[in-house]
Amino acid sequence: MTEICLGVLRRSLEGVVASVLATCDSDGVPNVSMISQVHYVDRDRVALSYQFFNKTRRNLLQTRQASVQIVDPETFAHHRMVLDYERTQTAGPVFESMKAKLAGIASHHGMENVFRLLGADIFRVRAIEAVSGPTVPLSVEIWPLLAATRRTCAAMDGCADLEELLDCVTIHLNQDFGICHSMILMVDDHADRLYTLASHGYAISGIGSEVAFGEGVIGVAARENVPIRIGHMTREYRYSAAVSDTARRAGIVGEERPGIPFPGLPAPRSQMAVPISAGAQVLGVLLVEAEEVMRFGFEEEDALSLVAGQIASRIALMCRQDLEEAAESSPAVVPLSGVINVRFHPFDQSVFFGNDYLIKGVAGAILWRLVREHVATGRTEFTLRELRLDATLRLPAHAENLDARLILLRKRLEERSACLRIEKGGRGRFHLVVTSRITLEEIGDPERITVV
Amino acid sequence: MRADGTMRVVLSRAANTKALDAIRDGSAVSVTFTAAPDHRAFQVKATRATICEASSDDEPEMTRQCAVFRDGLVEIGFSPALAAGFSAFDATQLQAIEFRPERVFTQTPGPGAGAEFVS
Repeated sequence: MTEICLGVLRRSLEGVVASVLATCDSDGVPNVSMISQVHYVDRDRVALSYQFFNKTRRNLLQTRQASVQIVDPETFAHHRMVLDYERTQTAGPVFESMKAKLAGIASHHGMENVFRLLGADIFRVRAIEAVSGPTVPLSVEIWPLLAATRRTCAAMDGCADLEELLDCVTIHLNQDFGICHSMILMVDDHADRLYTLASHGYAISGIGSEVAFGEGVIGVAARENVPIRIGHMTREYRYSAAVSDTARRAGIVGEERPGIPFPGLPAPRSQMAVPISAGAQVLGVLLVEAEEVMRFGFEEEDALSLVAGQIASRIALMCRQDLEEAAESSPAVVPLSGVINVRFHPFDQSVFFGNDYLIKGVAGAILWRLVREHVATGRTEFTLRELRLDATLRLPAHAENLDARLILLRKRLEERSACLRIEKGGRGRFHLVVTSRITLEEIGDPERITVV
Repeated sequence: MRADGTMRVVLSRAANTKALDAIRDGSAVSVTFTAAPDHRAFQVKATRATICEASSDDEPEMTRQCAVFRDGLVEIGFSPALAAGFSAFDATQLQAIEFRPERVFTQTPGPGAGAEFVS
């Protein structure tokens, strides 16, 4: 136990400014360096990032002692910790969390293979002392996070389906947390990409935009199944830049890689990606971002992790609910006007309206199946259950993916103001609303079917 | 930096009592300098240093360096208030140390960090 509790110093471990690490060699010659990550492990331990084998590293292995000075970014209070080196972890939650954060930073600069974590050096905190100096009082918390979390979770109670659920969360992040910009992405069928299914606060919705696993903060959060939080994008970018230049001069890397385009804020200063997961299985990622520096801290990470957990529970609950409830009334018959050719490419299941791309993958296969059946039989009412049971769709094992794909499909149709739209019916049912005559064209299939 | 090669560092007495005690006892010193905008850094080492009183002669250079540090923080996105907070000091607690650098090392983060500058 230490006199000053490490838990109350978490804000000082945000890395707003680099911490100062001092070590000595066995002859007592000091060495001082800046360190980007002092990671909170538990009430008695911190972990320091081990990225390069340098003088600091040699000293640590010789003496197993270090001193690190941290700064509270709000009060400017300085604290100095005396540390005893215990071990280096190269796997496990602490390592993965630090590695993921570092990878998120590096990916913004194309430095994934150089700026990487070799280990998480675990230290027991032997003593903490307050360092004398000017401080300012802590400002009053504007957003009471516990109350905001409670309200957001309570609001999810009223959501009947996945679409409502995800939209509800982004709206309440704005209302209750004051987080204006957020997105929810779901994991795709092959568990190697995510696609945007809900967003709030952007000029364009970004629905359907994709992020690969391991790409940026979202992809790394999904791959590692840990929250990733970057609070000072510019600083971290430049921090990477300094390493990048050094590495490039050393001949370790070659050409600079172009930046990864992201359909969010053009220049966010803060980002946090929180996995939505059921145990080890990542279902999606909740991303929040802001133009302010250090908008999201440990407290927001705790709160949004609870929200993400609640989303995962709600998704599981929805999947268990009976999908065969009573049918709702059919939509009114809409008079048809004009003709549209719907083209399907089986190799990637992509669908085009005329020459305009609409969607691909499972969502494309679903749409093709619906319009074919509609053209053949005139049917407009469908159930989720029949889609789940349709082997020709080659649906993935995770049931929530079907709901997510239907939402994606519905929103894409809406955004394109297409001649087709999907409307929700009763639970487990939906309607296909057709406003034009349709011709179908399957590439490789010379036969065309036309609505009469 | 003085013309004779001596380096003078002004620091807070109250915040560095242990470091000052160690210098008084003849300890070696290391000082790292970092540029806020790009993190380029170097470290100087000396086998000994002497403790001196800070004086009003230090003020112009301290004011200049604090302004440069503050501007560097603002340049990388810190608010002016945050930058000012990080560069604030208690003028009643100033102490100086002086030493002649014996070895200089690059400290810019990356694989080359720690390499010694050899003249």
